Amino acid sequence: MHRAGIAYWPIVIILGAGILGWNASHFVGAVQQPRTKNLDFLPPPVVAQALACGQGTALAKLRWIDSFAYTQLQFDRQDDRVAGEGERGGFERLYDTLITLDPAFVPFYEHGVVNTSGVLKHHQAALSIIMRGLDARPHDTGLWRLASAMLAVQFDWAKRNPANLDRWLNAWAAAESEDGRQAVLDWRRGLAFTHVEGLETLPYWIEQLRGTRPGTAMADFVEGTVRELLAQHGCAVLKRIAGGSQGWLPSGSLLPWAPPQLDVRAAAAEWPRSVPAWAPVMRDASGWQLRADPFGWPWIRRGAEVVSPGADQRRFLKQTFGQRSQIQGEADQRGRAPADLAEARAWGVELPVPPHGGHWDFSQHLPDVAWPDPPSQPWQLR
Amino acid sequence: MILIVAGATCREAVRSRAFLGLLLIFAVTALLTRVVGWVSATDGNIVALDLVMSLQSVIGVLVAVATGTVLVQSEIQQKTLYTVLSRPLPRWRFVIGKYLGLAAALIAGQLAMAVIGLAWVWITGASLNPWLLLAVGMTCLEVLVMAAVGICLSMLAGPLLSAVLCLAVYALGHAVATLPQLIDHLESWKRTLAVAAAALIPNLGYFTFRGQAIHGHGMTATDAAVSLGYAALWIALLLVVSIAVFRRKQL
Repeated sequence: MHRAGIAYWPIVIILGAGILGWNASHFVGAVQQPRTKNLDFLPPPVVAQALACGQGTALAKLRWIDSFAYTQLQFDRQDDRVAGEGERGGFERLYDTLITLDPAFVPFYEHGVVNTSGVLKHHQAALSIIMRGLDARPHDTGLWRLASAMLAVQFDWAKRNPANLDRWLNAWAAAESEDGRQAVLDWRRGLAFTHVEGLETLPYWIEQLRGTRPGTAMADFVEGTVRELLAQHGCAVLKRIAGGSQGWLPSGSLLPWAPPQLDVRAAAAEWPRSVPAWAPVMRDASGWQLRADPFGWPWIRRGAEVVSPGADQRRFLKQTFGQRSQIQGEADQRGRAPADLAEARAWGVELPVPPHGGHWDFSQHLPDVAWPDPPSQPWQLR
Repeated sequence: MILIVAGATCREAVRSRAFLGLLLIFAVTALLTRVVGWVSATDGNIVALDLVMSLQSVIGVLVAVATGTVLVQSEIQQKTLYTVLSRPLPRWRFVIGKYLGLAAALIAGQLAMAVIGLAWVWITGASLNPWLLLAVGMTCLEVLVMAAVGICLSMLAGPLLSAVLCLAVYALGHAVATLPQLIDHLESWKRTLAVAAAALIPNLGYFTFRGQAIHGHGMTATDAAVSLGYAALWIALLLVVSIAVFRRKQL
């Protein structure tokens, strides 16, 4: 007797769909949770190499990804001591193994520094990791920058060991190509401005300025920003110096002041060696001189504050941007610009009177302020 | 006659389920390497590329072991060997033909995996460099040596045991590459014994160029030639041993 066979395919499909659904259900509504895995398998580097069956670089990366959970654990625990001999913590041993397996993979060094220095504050361990990186990749700009930042920030070489930091930066420059040396110069400049009040971001803007073409809107904007930063710094410095001698900054006076009015002692205390290019004063054979502000205007004292008229003008334009846009919108609707300030007011837009002798200019699409020419040349930036 | 045997072996190997199945596994896992790259907290390209190259080696060796160790045994079990050997065909030619056929199939598999894997990581954003081709070539040499090991062991033992031994040789072959770093821990006769034992195992470290290639680091022509010569020497030795054993084998 012939018996009809069972159709297996529908059963396979049903079971398969069930298993797929079951597996997928793990992901539905899953909430991300911090993983807090410990380093439970940490062979020494040579053993790891022997066990890797020739796939050391790939296994190192998988082990590294798996160790992210250990980083999360250390955020809370801040103690990476692991079982075994020696003083070295889990991160040090982990990155020792990973770097041995794949010394050319830069993220090992970067993450090693973040974990040992950033998370655990083991700066010495971090420095040893980054030095291994430079040994393996002596021309890697990122690693040099990272090492330099560590030496300057964590080890405070800029203050405590400037001669060695200088030698270090020279070594970095020597490791770079002709083009890459610019990175070292930028870094030096950045380091120099780290402690200069109000000029912390100046290197960034100088870098931007280098990338612009003179006369373009972008160049004008960047130049203005640089001048504003310099003016901000100048105001702060002049206020400090004025505090030492109230006599040499007569209230509301137009500057430049005569040299005898400068507090030479305060200025000498501010710049004991040489006067930097970004300072609001300069020193030549005839003695201390006060410069104009970076826009070419004389500094002004207003109460206890020192003001840069050029920076004031920029600030005024920024503060009135809303009203100027309003007028622009009205002018677009009416098909013409207002004739004068009174008409602008009649349109319902209250425009303040510009400071330092400026007057509104409605000939532009976006109303602008026309200022008189400054009595001195603005500072040379390029 | 060698080419006829080689052609038939190549066709048989390429059509085998083990070959196609492992190739399919490679394709699926190669796709998943990109996911690993994504979770790696970097741009992930190096990670994905490294895993693809590594998979190519591992799957390639598995294919070599799975097909190489059953090559002659299946001929015996299916009794097709008697038909072949009843013709005026010296046994050495049969072994050489079998190896060449297997080698051709393995190289075809390696090229297919390289194209699939590298194309995938390239399409998904990784940049490739010419050294990767040399790395693929080195992996081919590694796989060819392992195929010779597989054939040689299959002459001495059954398919299962020879497959296990073959995988052990693969692991040891890479472990001996790190032996020079450990040898200082040994003294006197232990050191001599370890060196002598390691000398019996093919040092597969000569063919692991993948790690450097993914970072764009090169290999000197001398090193490449040394690796090629080393592979050729081992393949020749293992095939001669295989032929010697096969000639004396009572079928």
